[in-house]
Amino acid sequence: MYRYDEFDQTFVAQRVAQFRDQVARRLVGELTEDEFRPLRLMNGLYLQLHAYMLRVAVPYGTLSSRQMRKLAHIARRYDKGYGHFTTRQNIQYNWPALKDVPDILMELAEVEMHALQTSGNCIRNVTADQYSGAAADEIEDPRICAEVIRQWSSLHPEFSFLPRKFKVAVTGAPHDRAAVAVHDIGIRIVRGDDGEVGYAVLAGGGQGRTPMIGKTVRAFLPKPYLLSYLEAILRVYNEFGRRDNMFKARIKILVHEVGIDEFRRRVEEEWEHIRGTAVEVPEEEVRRIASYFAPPTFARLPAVSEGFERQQRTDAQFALWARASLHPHKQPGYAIVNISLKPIGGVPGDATAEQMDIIADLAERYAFDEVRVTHEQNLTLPHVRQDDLYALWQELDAAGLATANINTVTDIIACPGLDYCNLANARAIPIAQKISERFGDIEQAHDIGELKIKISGCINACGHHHVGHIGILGVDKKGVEFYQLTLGGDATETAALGELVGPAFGYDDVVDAVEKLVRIYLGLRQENERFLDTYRRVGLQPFKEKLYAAH
Amino acid sequence: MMSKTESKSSKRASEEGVLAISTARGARGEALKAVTANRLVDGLVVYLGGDGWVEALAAARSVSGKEAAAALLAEAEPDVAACRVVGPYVIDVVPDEAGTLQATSERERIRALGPTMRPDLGKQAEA
Amino acid sequence: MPLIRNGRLADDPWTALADDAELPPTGAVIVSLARFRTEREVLFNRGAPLGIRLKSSELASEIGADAPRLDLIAIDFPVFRDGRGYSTARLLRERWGFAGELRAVGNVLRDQLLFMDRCGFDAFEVESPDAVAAWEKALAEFSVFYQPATDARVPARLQRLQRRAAS
Ligand code: SF4
Repeated sequence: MYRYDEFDQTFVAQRVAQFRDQVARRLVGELTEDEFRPLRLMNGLYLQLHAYMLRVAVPYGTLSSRQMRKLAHIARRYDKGYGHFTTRQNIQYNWPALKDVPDILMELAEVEMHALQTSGNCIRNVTADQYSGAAADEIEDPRICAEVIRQWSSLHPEFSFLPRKFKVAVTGAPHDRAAVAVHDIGIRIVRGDDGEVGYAVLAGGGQGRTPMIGKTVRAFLPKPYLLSYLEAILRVYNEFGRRDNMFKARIKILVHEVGIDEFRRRVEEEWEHIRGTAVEVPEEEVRRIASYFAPPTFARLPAVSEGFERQQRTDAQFALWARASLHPHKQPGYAIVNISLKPIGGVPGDATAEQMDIIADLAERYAFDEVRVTHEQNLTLPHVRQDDLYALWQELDAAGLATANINTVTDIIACPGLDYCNLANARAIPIAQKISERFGDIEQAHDIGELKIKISGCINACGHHHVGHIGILGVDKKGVEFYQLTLGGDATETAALGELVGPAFGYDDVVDAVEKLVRIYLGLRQENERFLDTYRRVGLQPFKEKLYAAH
Repeated sequence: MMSKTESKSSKRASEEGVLAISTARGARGEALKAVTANRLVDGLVVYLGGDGWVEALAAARSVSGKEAAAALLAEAEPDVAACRVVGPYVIDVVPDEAGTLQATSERERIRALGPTMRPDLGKQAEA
Repeated sequence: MPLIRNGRLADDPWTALADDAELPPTGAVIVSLARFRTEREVLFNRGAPLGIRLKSSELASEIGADAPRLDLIAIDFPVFRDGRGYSTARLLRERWGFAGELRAVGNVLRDQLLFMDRCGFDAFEVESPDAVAAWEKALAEFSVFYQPATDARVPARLQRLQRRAAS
């Protein structure tokens, strides 16, 4: 993975010093809260319901064991012993004191981490496929592109006060695990007709109040022009994005209002001026960055481990976990391992400091020292020998980290909601917990098959409800929590936005409603159909009728 | 997280706060107003009590009527300027059977207690 | 308002002219874009320095090819959040050949000075004369930059290449 050189190290150290100065100025009153707010937000520091919340960037979701241990240490020393992994592949701490934040940032800098651009109207932390460098279907490791973008966007002098926040995601594989179609800019690494690798660039996707699927601005961008093209898009957005209404300020509204053709025309016109200029990243620098993402030294192994096969036959629990948690690796004899942060009845995405330490340890011993954060709030060990899976599973199990529910009905995304978040209308986490308990039987969950439930506590959609197979949105009706259900959303390469089923359900009824939807699906499904397949075949109507019929 | 002197002073304030409540309270269940904010230095939820800011809603000073609420909020302003608290605002509260103030909205209940699924965290854990 | 130009407190010889104020026979004036449009020829032929003040919504292309003929352009930041002026500044300098004084006016905050400096501003209207020290500090906070902009600072990626070529 990428390692800081002295320039990167100097930069984050200077950033910490700058923020330390800003905090000091705030504490003695040289800065008012109005003046300080944007400064703390540029460092990922929010003021939430109970306390400050610090959001730490995990660029494209990649962590080393050393970094994970530092995150554990911070949770213990400055927080309440846990952290929350988010849908943007970041980690949030819910209880840091303002006066401690400069020290936290200094500790992060020691392990080449920061909280830069995790909030504010700037180019946010870039996200990428959690299986980067490991997935069998990958064209190229998207983290190279993501790191180039991370550096270019760091304290960008022109684009730090955009109309609104700006999120970029990159996928290097045709199967999109990074939800690029619902980002302000989505980048797909693609192969052109002549086999050349380049980028398909989407813009104007997003969730929130007005969800939209991103549109293709350019079907094929040759690699050397990455940064000039991004700069052209950002400049058009900075100049023409709406600033009169915060709810209409995202780039998706601009793209929608002027139309993709006019938007593309403006971008290409701007691009003509700057393509090939100093903004482009030199090839040698790309090679330098790419060298950090060279594959680890894999052992040469048979494609299938006999031991692993045997262990699955003899241990049904292990077999179940393997079925849920493993993903094919490009290297024979290896597997990608997903670690569920969704224990039955637990808080989605939360990990204790002890668990973080254990995972760091396991990564060091079994996975070339790497951990990934997924946008579905789980963790991934990208490169594990199949021969080691049984031992790994036992250790995960002992730490409460072997719930065999990845991609099932209990692998729920939930934002912090009203239990933490200042903007929330309703709680999200307890709903996730109750659904998880309702479907707590793992075998039953596997029988239901792939089912993605995503819950947001307000229309900002941090819980990605628009792209949940079942989406749940918390709304406030005269001070009472209600929940709207949507069906048919999809965050992958077949991206779609969910459709509202009907009237909202109260806090005590929403879990019953979800269970009913699952039963309706089970009654309708044909062989091998996932929930989403059935939904796409039969449409909203049968679900709607049956859901409200008994009411 | 809280220094000893701070916790002591808030305890003292809370006793006075209770007195203040009993004088302000009308009939049981009558809607009253209190003022809340977040403490600048650590972000924790605080309420305007009888003598400065307190951490427990039960120790908050409550008043009835719009004007009294505005006056209470005005009392908080110097502490904003003095960098003690951030973003004070008025909330609705009602005394319960025992006369203890409770927030009426879900949001304020959660602020007063802590995350609903983590009784080990927040003010509810300290109670 | 105190003015910082090229890093120090400077006198301001410019007169900001209201749209309905009479054009003085001599002296440097700053006019709005609207006034510039209606009195363009008169203003250019006056034989005195000419400046234009742009609202944040008035983009670089609205001055366009006239840029090299101007002596000053002031760009307004009505609130710090409105970041259009950064693009306007870069485009005036990099695309339209503006070489005169580029002045940031309005809600100009110390923590934005470095960004503005990088985008080609060389003058800043500030709230108090004390701002010079803050200005110097703000500009010295970073020595590493990750992207080229209008300024002459060398981005990290080029420093890396230079380093490697030298070793
Ligand atoms: S979706 Fe709303 S409630 Fe949930 S974290 Fe985002 S802003 Fe907060």
